[in-house]
Amino acid sequence: MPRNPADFLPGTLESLVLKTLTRGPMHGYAIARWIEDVTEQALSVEEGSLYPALYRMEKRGWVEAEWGTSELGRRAKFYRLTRKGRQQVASDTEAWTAFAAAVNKILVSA
Amino acid sequence: MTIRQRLRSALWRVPIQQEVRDELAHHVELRTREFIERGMDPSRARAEALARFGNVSQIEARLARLGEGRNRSFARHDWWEEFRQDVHFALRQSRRQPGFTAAALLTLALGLGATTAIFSVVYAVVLRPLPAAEPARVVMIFTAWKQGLGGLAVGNYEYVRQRTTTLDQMAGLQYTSFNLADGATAARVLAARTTWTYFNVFGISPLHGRTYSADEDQPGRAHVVVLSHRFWQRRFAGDSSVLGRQVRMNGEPYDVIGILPKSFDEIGDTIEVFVPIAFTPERLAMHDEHYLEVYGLRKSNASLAQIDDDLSRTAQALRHDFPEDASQISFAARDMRDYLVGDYRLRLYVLLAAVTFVLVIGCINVANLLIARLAARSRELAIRAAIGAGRGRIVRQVLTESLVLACAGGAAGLLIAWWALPFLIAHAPEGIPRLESTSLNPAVVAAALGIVLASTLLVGFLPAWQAARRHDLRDELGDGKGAGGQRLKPWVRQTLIAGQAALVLIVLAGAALLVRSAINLQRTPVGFDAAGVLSARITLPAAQYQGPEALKVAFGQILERVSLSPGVENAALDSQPPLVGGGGGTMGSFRRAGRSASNR
Repeated sequence: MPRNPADFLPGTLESLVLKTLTRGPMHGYAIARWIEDVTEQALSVEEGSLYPALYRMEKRGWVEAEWGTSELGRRAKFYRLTRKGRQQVASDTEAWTAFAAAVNKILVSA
Repeated sequence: MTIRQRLRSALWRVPIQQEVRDELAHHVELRTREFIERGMDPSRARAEALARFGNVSQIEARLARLGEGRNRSFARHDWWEEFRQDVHFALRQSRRQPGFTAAALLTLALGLGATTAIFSVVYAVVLRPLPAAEPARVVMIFTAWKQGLGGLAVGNYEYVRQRTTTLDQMAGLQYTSFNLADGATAARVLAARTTWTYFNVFGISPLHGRTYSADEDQPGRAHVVVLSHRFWQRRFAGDSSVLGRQVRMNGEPYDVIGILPKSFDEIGDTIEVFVPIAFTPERLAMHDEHYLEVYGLRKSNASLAQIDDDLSRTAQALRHDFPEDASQISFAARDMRDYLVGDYRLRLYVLLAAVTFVLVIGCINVANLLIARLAARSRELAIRAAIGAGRGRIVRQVLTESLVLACAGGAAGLLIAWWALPFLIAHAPEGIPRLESTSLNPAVVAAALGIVLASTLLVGFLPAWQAARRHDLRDELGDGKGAGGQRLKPWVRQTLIAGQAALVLIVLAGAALLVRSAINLQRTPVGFDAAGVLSARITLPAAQYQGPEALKVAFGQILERVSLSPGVENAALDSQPPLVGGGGGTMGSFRRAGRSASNR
């Protein structure tokens, strides 16, 4: 059963999306697919959470959107990471690593 | 960054609903394709892709809401960004033309400074509420004579008090003075005898101690005194141990029971101590001596007109009940602040109008300067228009220039007002109530800000209007210099100049009238030569000087001593000296000093 990242910790989905966008501008479907493929379907991105998260991040200035042409020749909205978004990914990653290490100490090692 | 923002603004002209629908449709299409590739039946694949959204219309609505918020935030951001650029441009422009900038700033600063200073006086005197708990409800009740308003007889006060349906509280006050002795020193103090309800009308609580109760406002028990803040500071140096002390006033012992807050000094004015008035039954029956100053707290639903109606009914009954003493009596109610301020309200408003005219004239001058400067910049404006600046954008830029000027002028104006106010107050004619409390308080600063914004529009409106006209780049570039300065239709500047001239004329005429009436006032003969005349008031404690004989002897001695003082030519006693208010049993000493003495 694929898990929805939003079920774990609020804000995780945002971090995953931002990290995904470090690979270059993508439209919403590509972002979802990439996360699903990389995690081998362990994580499933719900459309109902993905798009609101994208809109919120756009308002915060972490991503910018632009209409372009998709690989199939269709008009699609592409999201691109801004400098602010890049900084956010860095600090998210750092915080997550520290947090995961701490949780691991309890759940796995102890 | 800026170019991308421009693009962003242009991009989002697609209605947000459209944007959301297209984006989601694209997503569903790709997901469907994915499912088909995995071997799903096409129609099922689409249904499955849609199902992943849950309730599609709900999500669409949510995204549309988020998108609108995002667009608003972008628009705000863009607006501020442009505003910042405009301010930068205006500052650069100002630095480049220091002469122009100095002239404009000086004009605006003087106008704004004068207006702010006079407004702060108007605020302190006319607009500021009384320092009472419910200032709008405090009224004064008068006996309305043909010659004007006066006090009430105690009997009439009591008659009204028992019958009023429009006042929650009523209080009476009688001015008097005491000889106050505390230890070895004695001094004359200005005092008020008041009903115990007096402090309730204003809803104030004392700073220390208490005010007197109904029980103490009775004949024989009224030996308590409440001090004004000013008197407490001056006479007792703000020492609160004075509470509970006994002082002798006119030879009789009084307990100090309370000290009033500083704010009450404005209401109490020169009154230094307050004692209960303790009406005797005889006084309550007196209807023909009208010396009581009467205050009331109107019911919150009663208007002044309703109080007047109420009072005229009461007066009718009074005239009927006491045909002998009260046949002429009618009453009138006034808002206390309005009464205190009196005709200073109109005079100050005239003054405010005068400085406002000066400010308007200054603004028009600066507007003229700006128009001239803009004419020289018509080529720049044409280029801006040619590369896509809308009219609104150009208007905003010109208005921002005048905003920058007005703000700088306003800041300088506040400094001028701050510097000029003490001087203004010190040289004001005497007798303007509440003038001392004039200050540049937050209300005044807020008003100054409003005046600055109004000036911005006044300065910038015509230049902006001029700049918003169509600029044809070909005209501007074709013959080099272009038509330049002559572009503005001549009638606009002519109208400006005519309007300015009219305003100047009004201000000049007004000033001339003011000066003339001031001169006339000085020339009006008072009927006697007041040069070199000094006056003082004396109160002798009744306990020590009983009977008219004792008083006569004492005053005779005082007069003799004063006459013998060096520098005094002549001395006299009077109970009611000319052009001096008050009276009420006070003896006034009136002496004539030699010119050499008075000129010292």
